Amino acid sequence: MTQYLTKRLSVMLFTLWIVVTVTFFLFRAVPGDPSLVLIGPEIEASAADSIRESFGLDRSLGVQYWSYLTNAVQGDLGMSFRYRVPVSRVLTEKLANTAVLVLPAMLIAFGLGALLGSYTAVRPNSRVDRFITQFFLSVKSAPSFWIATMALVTFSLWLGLTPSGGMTTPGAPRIEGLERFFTADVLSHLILPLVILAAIFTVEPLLTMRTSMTEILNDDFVEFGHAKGFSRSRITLHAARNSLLPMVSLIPSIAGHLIAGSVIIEIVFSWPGMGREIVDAVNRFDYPMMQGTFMAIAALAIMVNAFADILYTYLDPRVRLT
Amino acid sequence: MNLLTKKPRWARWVAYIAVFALIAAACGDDDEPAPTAAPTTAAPTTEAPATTEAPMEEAEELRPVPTLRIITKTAAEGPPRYEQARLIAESWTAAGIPAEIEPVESSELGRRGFTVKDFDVYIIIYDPTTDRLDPENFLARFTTGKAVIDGSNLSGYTNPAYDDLYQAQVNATSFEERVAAVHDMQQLLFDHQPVAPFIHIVIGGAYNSADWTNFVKSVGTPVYHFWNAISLTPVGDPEPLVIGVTSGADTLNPVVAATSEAAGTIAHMYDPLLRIGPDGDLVNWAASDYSISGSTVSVTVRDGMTFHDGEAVTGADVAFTFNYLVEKESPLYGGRLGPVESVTADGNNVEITLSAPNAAFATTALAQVPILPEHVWSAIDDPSSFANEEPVGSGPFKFESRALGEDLRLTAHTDHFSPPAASGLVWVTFGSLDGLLAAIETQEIDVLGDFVSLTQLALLEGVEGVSIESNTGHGVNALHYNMRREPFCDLHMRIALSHLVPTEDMIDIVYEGVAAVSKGIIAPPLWANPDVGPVPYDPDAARSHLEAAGYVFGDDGTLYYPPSDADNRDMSFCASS
Amino acid sequence: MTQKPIEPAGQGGPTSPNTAGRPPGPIRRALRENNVRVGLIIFSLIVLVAIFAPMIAPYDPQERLRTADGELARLLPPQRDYWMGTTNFGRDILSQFIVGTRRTLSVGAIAAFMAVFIGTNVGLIAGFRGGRVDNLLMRTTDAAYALPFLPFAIVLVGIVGRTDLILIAVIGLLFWRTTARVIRSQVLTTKERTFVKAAIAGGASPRRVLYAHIAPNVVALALVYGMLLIAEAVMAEASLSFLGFAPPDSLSWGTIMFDAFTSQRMRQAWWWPMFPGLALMVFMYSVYSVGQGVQRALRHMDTPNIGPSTRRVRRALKRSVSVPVAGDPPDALVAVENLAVTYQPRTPEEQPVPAVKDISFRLDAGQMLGIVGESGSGKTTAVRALLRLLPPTAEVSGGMWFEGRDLYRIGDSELRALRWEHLAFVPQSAMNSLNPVQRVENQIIEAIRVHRDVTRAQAKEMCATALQQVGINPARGRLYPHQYSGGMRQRALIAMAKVLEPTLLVADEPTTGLDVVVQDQIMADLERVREELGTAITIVSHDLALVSETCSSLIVMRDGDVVEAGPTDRVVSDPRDPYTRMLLSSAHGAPAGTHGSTGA
Repeated sequence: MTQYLTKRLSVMLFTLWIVVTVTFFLFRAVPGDPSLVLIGPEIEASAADSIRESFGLDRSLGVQYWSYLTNAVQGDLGMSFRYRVPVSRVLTEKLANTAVLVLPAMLIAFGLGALLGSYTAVRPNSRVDRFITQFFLSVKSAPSFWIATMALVTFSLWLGLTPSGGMTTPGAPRIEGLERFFTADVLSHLILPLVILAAIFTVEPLLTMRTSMTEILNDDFVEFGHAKGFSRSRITLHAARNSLLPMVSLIPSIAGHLIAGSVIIEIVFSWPGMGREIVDAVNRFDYPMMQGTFMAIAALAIMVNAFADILYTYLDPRVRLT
Repeated sequence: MNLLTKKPRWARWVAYIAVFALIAAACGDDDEPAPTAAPTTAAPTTEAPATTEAPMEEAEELRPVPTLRIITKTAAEGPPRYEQARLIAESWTAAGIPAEIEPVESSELGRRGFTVKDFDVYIIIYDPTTDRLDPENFLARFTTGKAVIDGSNLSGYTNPAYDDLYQAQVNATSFEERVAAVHDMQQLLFDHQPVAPFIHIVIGGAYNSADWTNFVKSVGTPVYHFWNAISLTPVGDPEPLVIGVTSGADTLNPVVAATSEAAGTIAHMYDPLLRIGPDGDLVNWAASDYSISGSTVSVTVRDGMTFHDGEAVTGADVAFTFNYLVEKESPLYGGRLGPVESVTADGNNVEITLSAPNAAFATTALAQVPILPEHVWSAIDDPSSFANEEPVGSGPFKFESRALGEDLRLTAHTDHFSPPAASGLVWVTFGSLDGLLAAIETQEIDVLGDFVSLTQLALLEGVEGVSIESNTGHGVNALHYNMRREPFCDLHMRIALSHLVPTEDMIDIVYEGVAAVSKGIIAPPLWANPDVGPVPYDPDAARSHLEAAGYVFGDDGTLYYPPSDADNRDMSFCASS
Repeated sequence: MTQKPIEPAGQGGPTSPNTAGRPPGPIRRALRENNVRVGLIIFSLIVLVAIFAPMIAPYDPQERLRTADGELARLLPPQRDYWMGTTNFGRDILSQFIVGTRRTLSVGAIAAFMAVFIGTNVGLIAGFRGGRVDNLLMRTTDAAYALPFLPFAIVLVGIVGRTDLILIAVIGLLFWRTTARVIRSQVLTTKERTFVKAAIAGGASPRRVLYAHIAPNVVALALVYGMLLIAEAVMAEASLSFLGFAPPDSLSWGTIMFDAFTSQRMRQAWWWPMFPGLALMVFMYSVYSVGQGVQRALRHMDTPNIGPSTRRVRRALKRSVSVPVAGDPPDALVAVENLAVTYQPRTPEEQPVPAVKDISFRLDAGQMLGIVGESGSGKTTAVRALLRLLPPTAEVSGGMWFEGRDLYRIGDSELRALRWEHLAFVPQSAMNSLNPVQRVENQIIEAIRVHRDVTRAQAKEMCATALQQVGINPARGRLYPHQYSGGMRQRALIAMAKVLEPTLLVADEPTTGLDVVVQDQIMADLERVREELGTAITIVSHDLALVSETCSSLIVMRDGDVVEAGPTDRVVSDPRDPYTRMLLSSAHGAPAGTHGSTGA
C-alpha cells in the first residue's frame, strides 16, 4: 500500500510539473506583448515600459521559467496585473468560496445519485424509475446558464424568495475566518446555486449507480444472499455498497465538470469564486491571474484524480495489493 | 465493410489527410473571413474604363476607393457600439461608399487604435469620466504632439493653428481667454472633421430613495459620484451606503492605479486639494485657498486636517506627493503633474511653479491628484510592488476591509471637515449588469455604480423606492477617421462620411430614442461652442461634396478616386503614416 | 445456466462480421427502443434545419425589421409574423435561430469529429496492443478528462483570442475519453473473434488487422459517440458564447442567448432566451436518449435479480402452478412432484424455453442425491426451482414440499426463515457468490446473525469452528475472497452452509474447476456434514463418476427430461438409458485425473 501510495503520488507530482511547464510556455506564447493590452483610451503607451518592468517581462525566457518554477513551488504565482497583490492570495480566497459551493454540490450529487440510482435499479422501468431518470436527464440536457438564469429570474425577481446573487447581503458586516461561511445569510445566498449545481450533476452518479447496481443485482452473490435468507433491504444494501466502486472512478470527471459548471453558476449568481475570477481575468487580460487560476484548477483536477485512485484501492480489496 | 477491408493502406492515409484538410479549411472559414478585395492591393478593375462615366476619354484607369472598414468592439463585448458601427456601414454602403465593419476584441481594438494606428475608421465611446469634465482631455487628442504612432491622436490630425490654440488655452490666465480658445478649437474640429462626434449618451443612475435622502444632482454621472457619497443620508439608523458595480477598483494604490474605477474609489479615501463641485465649478477641498498667477500656483492646505492614522496633513505632504507621483511615473497622475517645475512647502502653504502658465492645471491636477501621507510613502521605494492594502488617506472615508473582487468597505472618517452622512461606504462587485440591476430593484444595494445609458434602466421605472436620475453625458460617441490613410486624408471625403452618419436612426434603434445628437466633441453646457455643428444626416450633401471633389460613382456600386485632371481633394492636416 | 442472457455480441460469435443471423449489435438493439428512435428523428430534423437554413429562415437574421406602421419591430413577443419574437434591435429570433443552427452544428460536428477521431484511434490501439501501451493510453485518457473543460477553454481564449479553433481544439483534446473507453472494450471483445484470429494467423500485419479487420466493427459505435460528442460540443459552444467568448460576428444558439442576457431585457423578453434554450435542451435530451439506449444495449441491461417479491410469486403461482390436490403433504423431507419450468421470452420474437419438463423425487434426512447431466440439461434449474431462486421469467408448475410445507405456498418471510436455517445452498460459482468486498468471516457471521439471535463474539466462534471443520485456518477468515484459492472458497461456502446445521443442503456443481485432490476433499467435507448433522444433501454435477462415489441415489437428466433415476448401485451397474451408458463409459474411459476439468 505504501509502495502504491508513493508511486501514485510521484506520478501526480510529475503530472503537476508538466502542467506548470506547459502553462508557463503557453502563456509566453501570447501573440504580442501582454502589457500592450493595458494601453487604451485611459493610459498612454509611454506607461507600457514601467508595466513590463514591474512584471519581469523584460528578462529572458529561461530566467523567467526558472524563477517561475521556484516561485510556484513556494506557492508564489506572481503578481496580479489587476489587483496588484500576489495571485496566490487572491486564489486562496476564491478557492475557499468556490469550495463552499462545489463541495456540498458534489456531496449532494453523489449522495442523491447513489440513493436514487439504487432506488431506481431495484425498480427498473417502473413509473418512478422513469420519472427520476428522465427528470435528471432533462435537467442535464438544459444549458446550465439557461436554467440558472431562469431560476434566478423566477425565484429572486418574481417571487422574491432568494437574494439576487453574491455570497452575502451587500453591506452586511463582514466576518473573518471560516465562520463567515456558516451564517444564515451565506446559506440563503447559497441555496439556489447549490440546488441547481447539484441537480445538474446528479444525473451522472445516478445513472452510473443505476447501471452498476443493476449489474451487481445480477451477480451471484446477490442471489446467494437470497439463498441465505437475507431480507431484500439487506441485499440492496450489500449491492449498493458494491456498486459504489464505479462511483469512485466517477469522482475526477464529476469534480472536473463541477468546477466547469461552477464557472457558469458563479457568473450568473455573482458568486465570488474561482470561476468568476478566471472569466474576469480573461476579460481584463490579467495574465498572471489567468495563469494562476488555470494552474490551480489543473492541479486540483490532478490531485482529485490521484485521490480517487487511492480511494478506489482503499475501497476495493481486490486491487489493493496489485 | 468488405470494401473497406480491401482498400490498400495508402488509401486510408489519403482519407485521413483529406479529412484533416477539410477540418483545417472549415476552421479557416470560421476563423477569419476571407479578406474581401484587400483594399490596398486591389488591382484597377478592367471594367472601369467601360463605365458610362464621361471623363473616361483619356483612358485613364480610375482607382477604386477600397471598402472602408470600421473597427469596433464585438457584439459580445459592446452591443451598442457594434450596432452603431453596423448602422453607419450600412448607411455608407447605401450611399455608394462601400463599407463594412470589422469587430475585434477590446484588447486588439486598443492595440490597433492606440499603439499601431492600423484602422480606417475607429468607432469609439468616450465614457463621461470626471476628468473629461474639463475639455483638455478631448482637445489634447487632436494635437500634433499626440499624433505619433502610439499617441492618443487617433485621427492623425496635424494643424499648427490648432496646436497654437491648444497652447493658448493651456496657458490662458483668465477663464474667458480659455473659453475663447476652446471654442475656436471646436470650430476647427468641425471644419476639418478629423472626428465625427454623433451622440452624447444620456447617462442613467439609480438609487434607493426609500432609505436614503439628501440626493445631490451633479454634472457628470447623475447618481454615483463623490457628492452623493458624503451627502446621501440614511432615513433610519446610520448605515453604510452600498454601491453596486460590475467592475470594482482593481487596486487602491494611487501610484500604480490606471483605471477610472480605481481613481473614483481612491478619491473617497484621499483628498485632492480641490474638487469639481456638483455644478462643475471648482470648490476648495483640502486647500482652504488657492490662487494662480502666471506660472505660479499658491495653495494653502486646510487647517486641522488629519490622515486616518492621526497624523496632520501639511504642505510638506502635498509637495512630497507631487514629486513622488512624477518620479514614480504614476499612470493616472504623473502626466497631469507634467507642467510642474518645482514645489515648495512652508507649513500649510505650498507654492507650485509651472513651466508655463496653465489655465487647466487647477482642474486637471489640483482637483484630481490625491494627497499622500509622506510618512507612509517616503519609505516605499518601489510602489509597483506595494499593494497599499490598507490605504491611509485623509478623505471622508477610511479603509475598513477588502475582499478582492467582492467588496470594499470604508467607514466614515468622522474627524473630516466634511464628514459623510452615511456610516460608511461599501462597493460590492457583481458578476453581471443583470445581477446589478436586479440588486438595485430588490434594494439590496443603494446606488448603481456603473455607467449605464438611461435606456438600460427602463425596467426600473416605476419600481417603488428606486429613483432614476439622468444626465446628458459629457462623454461622446464618435468616429475617428484615420487621416494617415488616403481616402480619409481628403477633407471632402470626411465631410461626406460625416453627413452619412445616421444619427437619428442610431438614437432610435440603439438608444430607444433616449440620447442627444452631438454637435461637437465637447458636450454642452460648460465648454461647448454653441455655434458649432452638428453635421446633419444628408446623403445629397454628401454626394455633392464627393462629386465636387472629383470622385466618380461607378455603376456597379464602386466609388473611384478623382481622375488626375479633376482632382479637387483637400489633403491638408494629415499626419504621415 | 440457461437463465443467463446471451453473452455480448462477439464472444464466441460467428466467424465473419457479415454473416447473417449473428446476434444484433448494440446499435441495432438500441434501435428497438422508442426513445432512441425519437432521439434520432429529432437529431436528423435539426441537421436538416441546418442544411436548409437559408431557405427556411423567413428573414435575414441581421435585418432590422419594421412593423406595418414603420416602427422598429423591437422586442415583440412571439406572434404570427415572428414565431419566436424579436430582439431589442428588431431582429427576428426564429431566423437567427435557424441560421444559427448551422454554426452551432458545424462547430459541434467538426469538434466532435476531432474527438472521435482521436478517441477511436486511442481506443483501437489501446485495446489491440494491450499491456503497457494500453496502460499508458488509458492513464492519459483519465488525465485528459480530469481537466475541467470550461476553465481550460476560457484560458485558451484569453491567450489566443476568440476563435472557433479554440473550441474545436479543446473539445478535440479533452472529450475523447468516453469514446476511447468504449471503443477499447469493443476492440477487446472483437479481437477474440475467430475472423480476427484467422487474420492474425494468416500473417496480416498488426496494423492491417487493426484497421482493416477490427476497426470496421467499431465504426458504428464511434458514430454514435460522435453524435453524443456533437451534443457536448454544442453545449460547450453555447456555454462559451454565453460567457461572451464567441468569435466576433458569429451567430449560434449560444450567441442568441448571450445577446438576450446582455440586453438586460430578460424579464421583459422571456421569449428571447427561451426558445434557443429549449431547443438546446430538446437537442441534448434527444442525443442523450440515443446515447443511453446504446449504452444500455452495450451492457445488455437485464431486469435485475433482486428475487421475486411475494406479490410476483403469487402472481406467478396463480398463473402456472397446478399443485396436485393430494390431501396430506408427503412425509418425506423433500418431495418434488412433476416439476416443470419454462422460461418466458423477454421479447415477442423469442420462443419460450422449456428448461425442465417433468421431474419428481423424494429425499429423506441423511440421504444424498446426485442430479447428473450435461450443461443445459435442466439440472440446475430444477434445484433452483426447489430453492425458489428462479428469475421472474421462469414459469414453474408442479408441487414442491419441504419439511411438509408447500414451498410455493409460503410467504416471503416464512421462506426467509426457512432458508439457511433449514435449507442451505452451496452455489456453483464460489468466487462470484462471495461478496468480493467483504471479509469471508464477516460474511459467515452475517449469515449467522441474520438467523440466530447471538452476539457477534458467539457468531465469530461458530464461524471459526465451521472453518476449522472444513480445514481452513480461522485466522484466514480475515481475508477477502479473492485472496483464497478456488478450493478454499468452495470450502468456505460449505462452512457457511453447514454453520447453522441445516436439514437440507443443495450443492450446485461444488467441484467444478478444481483439481482432483481438492475435489475429493470437497466431497469428503460434504460427506462429513451428512454424517455429523444428518443433513440431506443434493449434489448437482455433470460428473457422474464423482457423484456416484458418495451419493446413494442418482437422477440423470437430459434436455429437461429425467432419463434415468434410482439407487446409485443400480444406475451404475445396470444403466437402462443409452445416455447414461454413454456418460458412464466416457467417465470410465477417460483417465481419472481429467474428470470435472471441463467447465459447465
